[in-house]
Amino acid sequence: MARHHLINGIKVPFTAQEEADWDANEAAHAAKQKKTVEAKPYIAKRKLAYPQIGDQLDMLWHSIDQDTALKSKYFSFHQAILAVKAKYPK
Amino acid sequence: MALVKLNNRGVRSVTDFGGTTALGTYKFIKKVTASSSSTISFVDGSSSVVLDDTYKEYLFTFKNIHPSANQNFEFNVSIDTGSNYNVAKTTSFFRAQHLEGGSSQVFSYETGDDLAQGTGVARISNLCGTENDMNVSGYLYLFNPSSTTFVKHFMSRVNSTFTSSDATVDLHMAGYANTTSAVDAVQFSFTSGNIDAGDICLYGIN
Repeated sequence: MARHHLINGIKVPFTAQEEADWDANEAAHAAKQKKTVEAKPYIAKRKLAYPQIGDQLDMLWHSIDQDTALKSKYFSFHQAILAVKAKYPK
Repeated sequence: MALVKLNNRGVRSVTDFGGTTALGTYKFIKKVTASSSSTISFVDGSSSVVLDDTYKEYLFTFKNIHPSANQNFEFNVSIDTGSNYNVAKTTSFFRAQHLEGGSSQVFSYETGDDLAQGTGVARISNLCGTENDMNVSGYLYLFNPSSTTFVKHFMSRVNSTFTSSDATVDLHMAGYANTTSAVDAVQFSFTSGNIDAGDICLYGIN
């Protein structure tokens, strides 16, 4: 089907060159989509499903807090969060 | 002048209201309805479209913009009445999201949807679904497009139905066209496919 622009409400058919350019753009886009979205459909689903960054960091801190070796390894991170928790206790 | 109490009969008989043009008002300029259109453009100077120094601020409203493919709703601007849409733009883009199922509340900056001096299209909305009830609705402001001194700021906010996940996505984009030439045309499109349906209205603001 011939494409058109809608310029100020008036239909203006694509020129042959514009049709060719648009076809090329769509083909390039489809190829890119195939590489990313179609080949890896889980990407968009994961993007929507991951917890918020703050929640992820909170889970990470609690995991570290339960492990002596990790507490030592990530001392600065653990202590910085711990200091806030101590300052504003539940 | 004596005050006259208005009633239905009085208003129905009115043939003209007193001028209020000195007040700040939204002035409707043009409504364009998509019909499987690859692009929708508003170009200054024809078909009653004004996009010049008549107004210092312009508003585009999007109602039920429906894509033919799952794609991004985008725009670009021109400084040569639509011969070329290729002005350098820098934008920021962030989203808030919530799924119908009540999960996945997210607020995030979208690094893949912004521009840094890009001359291609600027993204207004990311992946909108094609199911019959899915669409993008919202607005875009363009400030002082005819200035030959300043860059041209713009900002949009739309709500979209996200592809295949039944999510509401509140999308914020803002930026500027990095030119001191007058912007006199604006074009809307999807990354691929057509704008199947929907209305775009243009208003000037005093």
